[in-house]
Amino acid sequence: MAEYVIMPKLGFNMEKGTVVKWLVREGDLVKEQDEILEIETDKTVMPVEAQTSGILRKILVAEGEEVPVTLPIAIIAGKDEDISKMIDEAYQKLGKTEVVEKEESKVDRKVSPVIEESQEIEAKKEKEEFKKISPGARRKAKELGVEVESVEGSGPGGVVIEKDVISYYQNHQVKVSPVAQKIAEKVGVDLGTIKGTGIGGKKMKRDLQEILTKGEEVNKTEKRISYTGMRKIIGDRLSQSKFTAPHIYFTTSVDISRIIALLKRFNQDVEERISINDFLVFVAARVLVEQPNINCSLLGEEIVYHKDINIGVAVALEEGLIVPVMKNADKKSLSVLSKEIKKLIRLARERKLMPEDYNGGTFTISNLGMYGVDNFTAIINPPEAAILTVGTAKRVPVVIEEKGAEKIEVRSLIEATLSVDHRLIDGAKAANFLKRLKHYLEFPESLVLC
Amino acid sequence: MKVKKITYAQAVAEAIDEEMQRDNDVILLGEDVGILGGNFKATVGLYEKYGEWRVRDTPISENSFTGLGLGAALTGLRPIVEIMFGDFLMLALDQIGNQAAKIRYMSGGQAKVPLTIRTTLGGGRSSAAQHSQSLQALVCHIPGLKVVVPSSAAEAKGLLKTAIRDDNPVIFFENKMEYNKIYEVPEEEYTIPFGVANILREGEDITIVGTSNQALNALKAAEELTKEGIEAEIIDPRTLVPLDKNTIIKSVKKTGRLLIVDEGYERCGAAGEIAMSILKDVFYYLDGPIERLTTANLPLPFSPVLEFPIIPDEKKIYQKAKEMVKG
Repeated sequence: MAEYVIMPKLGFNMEKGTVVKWLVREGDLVKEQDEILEIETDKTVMPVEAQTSGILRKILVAEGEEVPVTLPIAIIAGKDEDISKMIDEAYQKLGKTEVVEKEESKVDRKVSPVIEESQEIEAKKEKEEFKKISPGARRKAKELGVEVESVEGSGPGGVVIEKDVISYYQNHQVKVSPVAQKIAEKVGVDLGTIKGTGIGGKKMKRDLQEILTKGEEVNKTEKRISYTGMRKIIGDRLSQSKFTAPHIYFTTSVDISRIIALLKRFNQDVEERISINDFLVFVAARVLVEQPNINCSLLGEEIVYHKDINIGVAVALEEGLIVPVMKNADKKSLSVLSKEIKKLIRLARERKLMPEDYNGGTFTISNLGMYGVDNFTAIINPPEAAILTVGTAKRVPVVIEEKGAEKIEVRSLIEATLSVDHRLIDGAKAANFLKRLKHYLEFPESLVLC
Repeated sequence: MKVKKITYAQAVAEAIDEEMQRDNDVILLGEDVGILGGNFKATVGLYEKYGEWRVRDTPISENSFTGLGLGAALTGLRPIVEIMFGDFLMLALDQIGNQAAKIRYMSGGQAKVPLTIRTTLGGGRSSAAQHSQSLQALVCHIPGLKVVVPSSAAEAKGLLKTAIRDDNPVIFFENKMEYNKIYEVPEEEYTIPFGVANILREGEDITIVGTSNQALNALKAAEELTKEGIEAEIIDPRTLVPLDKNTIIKSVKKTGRLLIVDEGYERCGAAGEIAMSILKDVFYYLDGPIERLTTANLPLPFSPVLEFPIIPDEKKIYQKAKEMVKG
């Protein structure tokens, strides 16, 4: 399948990129993840990898040219695939015309009918050699990281079935000596990155030791990287927020035992489970409906109370923090919200978020529960006026009053902290927000009344 | 568990008897259900025990006496209407599909319709094109009806009792080829809930869903398949509406293959419906296309030589399952 190579968007503020150098030529075979060109953005030069395998059929943007992000810069396709339409479309997008090229290719075709014929035969062959792979086998291969094309099929008509993938995986497992295995576990080295020198590529103790000694040498020198791109954007925004907006913080403990029980029931026999975090977004949206004075921004000389409730959920990535936004969270059911959150988090992890996915937030939730943090304070994500943070759920003995008598019960508690911009929101309002949030989380039944 | 050995017809009669005894509102209507004890002997003894006010022979007029049953249901009774051959459902489809299925909905839930329509499916008796059809899909298509397709005598008894107690119209398909077969049925009273499929046999290689007695045929085929090294998982869905999709989905995720056996016609049939309704959930677990075994899209012939080849049976299930696993 023919695919465009596009000018990638590598930072939030990147709008254009310049092709510095093509590392392959037209007609070269490229494999997925091969570096095929270098681009320049924000004074850094970055290599770009091919997203697919095939032949680099057409370079659309020459070295030194600058183009907006996401526009096509080259085409990777099969050897004989017709890409003329794609070229036309690409030039249209780039605002270029390149008639000469097209005419040339027409001439080519006229004078070389022999080539065309052989191309046809090859195309036919390819059709016959189509490898049947069952959907189950494809799924399993993806799970196990097996190249499914290299698996021999044992199903009817030679179709590759799930069982074939499993046995292929078992037969091609990386061989490791027991000692090497133990050392790797102890020092926390990923065996996948190490080359084996034993019989049949077996990974031996000596291979590990070599890596470990090298690793120490590397560690002796400091690592320095430039403070640019995403890191700098995050840094600038947070400094601006923290140094201009006077933050005040409020923390409360919330008993989420009932929610845990409720979700347990919801999640029975369901493929897509609803998490406590999803529930939190759901409830926060409802509280913001009740208390629109939290859902605001200071824009210039005006305080704007937003009509929409768009809740951002902080997602940690290797290169920094990103906050995809659930638009109109108050108008969505829990299940719809849960699906959307999962989708956006996935897109964030795959670095596929579009600007509309992370812009337009009016309130943010940051959850570090999975890291075992009890509670923490966050810096408000401007231009928003408040951010809610949530810690880990802990089993805690709690004094409970029942029919006038006090008793101790073990409950699941989380600590929720609200940071607000004191210029816009006073303490009582913030406290009231937390009070209502706690109310709904502790008595989820009352949500029915919303 | 203590069991007794009785025929499928006796099990049906027992279910009706127990419910008539338990609840005075339960009545029985239909052609020859009274003095004759039913065309298939599935209501023997009830007329003698409960008399002509509760066990009523009707004229040959399906639409009328189905309407009579519906009226009785709306006004407080819990009628069982017998339509001798499933083929004759066509005569009563207005009362069933336009009236019984709709009233609870159109009255905003004010009226309930505790009506059970017992009828039959299944070919193989040389009853020809108008007395051999399996028309479960016809009623499955209409929202507001529950559709039951029991396999063995014990299943028929437990499910029929649930049908009679249900406050919605239930179409209950007995298999006319099963009436005279002897089965083990539990001694003590029991009911079987709707919408809970029964896993008759566990296996790893292929899931076979069989409706009505095709579940039993599949079970026999499974024993043969073992000799080929194929372990089939056999599921009896019991009710087509509501359908227990989860049990089927779980099984297919395990086996990667699904064969559905249903004696209805193939076109727009229950087998196709089951396949499509779970496809989305199992697609990425499949090792081959979902397949179905049904009656061919033809009027059923009178001649046994022509009739049997177009109806699914244990040999065809064996053959098809083997093809699907081994090619």
